[in-house]
Amino acid sequence: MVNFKFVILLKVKSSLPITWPARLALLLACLPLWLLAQPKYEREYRVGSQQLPVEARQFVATTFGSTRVKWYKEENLSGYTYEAKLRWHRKKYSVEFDSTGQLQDIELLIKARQLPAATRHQIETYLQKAYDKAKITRLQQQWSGPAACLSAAIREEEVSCAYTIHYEVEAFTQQAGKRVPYELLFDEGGKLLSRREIIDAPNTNLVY
Amino acid sequence: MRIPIAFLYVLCVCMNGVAQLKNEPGGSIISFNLNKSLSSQLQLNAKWESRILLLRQGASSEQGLQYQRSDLELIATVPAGLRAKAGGGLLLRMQQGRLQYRLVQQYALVRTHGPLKVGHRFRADQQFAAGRPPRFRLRYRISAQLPFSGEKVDIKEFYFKAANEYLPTLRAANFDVEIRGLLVLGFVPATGHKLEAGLDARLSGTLLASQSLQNWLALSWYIPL
Repeated sequence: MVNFKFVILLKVKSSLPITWPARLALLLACLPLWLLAQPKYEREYRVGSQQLPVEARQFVATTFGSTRVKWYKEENLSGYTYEAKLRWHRKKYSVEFDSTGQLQDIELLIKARQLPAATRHQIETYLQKAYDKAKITRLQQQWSGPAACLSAAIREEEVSCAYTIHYEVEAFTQQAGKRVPYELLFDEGGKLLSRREIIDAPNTNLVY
Repeated sequence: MRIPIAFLYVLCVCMNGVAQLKNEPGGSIISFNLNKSLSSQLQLNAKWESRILLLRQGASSEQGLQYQRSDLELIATVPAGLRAKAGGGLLLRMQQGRLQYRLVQQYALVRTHGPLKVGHRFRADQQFAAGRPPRFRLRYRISAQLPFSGEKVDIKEFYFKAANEYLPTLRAANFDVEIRGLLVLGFVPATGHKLEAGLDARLSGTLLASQSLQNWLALSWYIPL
């Protein structure tokens, strides 16, 4: 790689009347190549339906019919999962499966006003008490339970088994001057179950 | 790792068009952008930018690559509300042995809409140089970043970035609006780092009888510290 960079510079030197500051800038522009050697720990990318476990494909086809589905594979150090993103009856769903195609949960994107009044009150009260300032930026209703049961519930058919509803809230918070985005999980009644900080890539390239 | 061939093709066609401009030679803008959090409130951004002109035969008595100028910009920002930042700083420009100063004030925010990230930047700057009247500008830039695959840009993945900026400018009694358009291909080689390459087109004299277009090959490296 180093030899390659110098060959480029030598060629530039021999063929063009290039000044030293320009040559230095070109050399600095080549430096990021060493970053390519760094390892990668997490990745999400599109996959075709033929690469999926049959169970995952069958669940989505049975529950949502022939709607257009975008499939993603999420890899990290502990393994991988599959996620289907789709629109159905003007609602945005995200369906997650483990590596063998077993359903993990279904998430439905909703607005805060679509929350049950008591749940919304509980969540808003928590945010007011826990932080100086907080703003909900994304809210999803999360369904988990037996696959057949969830499929029936989503399709608003008669459900004869139990399933769980949680609410996943992404909120931008400020506490003692520190601004942190969190992903918060609440139960159906609005009680906090878990909280984790969202680590987002810096947006320097959109600001400067 | 899929390289978007169509994007590179469009870029090459555009750059070929650049080379055909006679009176406004373009070239390359190479920038290094360092960002450092000094505290939970205060962030410092340092940007080094150099311009190299590509002179073609016929456009000038000279031809080849020619170093034009370098800028060093330092901007400090603090939170302004939950998701926006306000700040100010100074730009020093070194060109042909002369130093120019620019004061900068800015307010910026970034919103996320699914996989799309949209940034809005409002800026004002005042430029001073010996022997020239000061120049005052108001600037608004909207920029958007979209990953090639998935909901977010992961390490070792590509993304598109497009930006559009409007720069009303007042110098002495002359008023003009410059319009800039940017289309780049970005790549994340490591956590926090971003490499970008693309076309930066700048149209000036939009309120005047004659307009001039300058096209640049923009190369940027964003580095977290």
